[in-house]
Amino acid sequence: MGPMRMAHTITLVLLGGGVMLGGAAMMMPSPGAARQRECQEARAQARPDADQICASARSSSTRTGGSMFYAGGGTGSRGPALAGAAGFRGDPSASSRGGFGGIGRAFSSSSGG
Amino acid sequence: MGFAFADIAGEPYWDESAYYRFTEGEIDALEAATAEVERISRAAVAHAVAHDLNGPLGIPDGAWPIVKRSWQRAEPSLYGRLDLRWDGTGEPKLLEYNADTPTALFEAAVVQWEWLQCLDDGRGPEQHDQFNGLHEALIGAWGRLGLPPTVHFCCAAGSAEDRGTVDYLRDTAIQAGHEAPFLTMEEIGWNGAIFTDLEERPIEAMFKLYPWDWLLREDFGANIAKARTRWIEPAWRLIPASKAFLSLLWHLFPDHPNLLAAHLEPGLTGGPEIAKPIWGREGSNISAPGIETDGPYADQPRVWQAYAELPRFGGRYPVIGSWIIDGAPAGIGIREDATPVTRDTSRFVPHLFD
Repeated sequence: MGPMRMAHTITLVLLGGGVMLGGAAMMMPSPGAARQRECQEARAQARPDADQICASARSSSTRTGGSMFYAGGGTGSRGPALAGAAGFRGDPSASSRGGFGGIGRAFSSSSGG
Repeated sequence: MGFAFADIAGEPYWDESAYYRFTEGEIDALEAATAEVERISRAAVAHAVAHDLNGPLGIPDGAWPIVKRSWQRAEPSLYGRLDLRWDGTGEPKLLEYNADTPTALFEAAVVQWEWLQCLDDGRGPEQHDQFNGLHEALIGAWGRLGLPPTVHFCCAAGSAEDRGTVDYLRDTAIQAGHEAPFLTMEEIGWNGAIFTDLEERPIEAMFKLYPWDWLLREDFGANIAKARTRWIEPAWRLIPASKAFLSLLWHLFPDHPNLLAAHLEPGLTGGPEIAKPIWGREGSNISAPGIETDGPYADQPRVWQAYAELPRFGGRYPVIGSWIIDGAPAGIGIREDATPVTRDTSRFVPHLFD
């Protein structure tokens, strides 16, 4: 069964085609194995990003069950930490400014994607 | 919660009238596909740098030394988002890689998690889980990027979505121990040797929610090579951010199960195609069977990708945004539209798995 789009009052069972996703997942390397492989490739190629990739491979290789998906509600760290860290103003006398942002001003919406 | 853009342009953006429900096996499949696409993407970036492929990628010769240098210096990436097409059958397919200025992060990391905590479906939130380790991954990542104590943050003025995304990332950086002042793009100064903030302090490290392809074309862009500022995302992220990168991936990894065929010329995929401007955003200037969108990118080179229409669930077309933090999969966010094209107005819909 594929992913389901659930309405809060009506359950929509989607036409997923009946393929067992557990089987599909087993056809792929595990995420940890993929990152270990990427680490080995990066090292073999002497790639500059090898350290970052290999550190990531080490830190994520201990996943068990669904626990890594836990998003940390127990950490108490989701509250705003920005108090006292707002933007600042000073005397912009020595530097020239306005050399960035021109293209962004031409767009009325997000610069992101 | 600080979700200032739950509505955009008067229309709902956050939509909890429905949610997507996955099995753990399905989440495993998404996580594995994300790790695999990241693996081949890094290999393709290394190939592009080694063979100076900036031309096909649409990166100007003048910008290429900056891009190459950032890769050769091993400047690490903080985050990126793979947009995946998947209906729960077969393999997730990469539609594109938002490697430079991905948004929809705060709502994925925080808002949908809070939604799960409040979900009242008679089973209680403890009976469900969510593929969402974004918040902790971001806080952990800041400490591994090798950045100075102060990291400046900037974006263009005027977009609540961009400012909300930047403020959320500032929050994670502060929780990681950084000072994280904000300024707009226009407020960045240049004193002849270094970029400066409004207090004339040097900007040693800058998180910018502003595309590299814009930065390098603007008046101060010529100063980037002279300055010692560390940029996040680093300049080498221009390579996977170019939609021409999709054709490089296909060239290097033909028939890869997580890729759709893509070429820099039309008619080579062997079937229906979608044409995308290589620096386009938010579904602008797209051509596909039965679809033509307008926008400001009509004059750009394009990439032609095999067209795989998005699945339709409950009358909506979802794209799965799969996040990579510090090089590893960390969670998903789903945006859906009433049309097969995902735009800046497409709604964010939460998910869970059990």
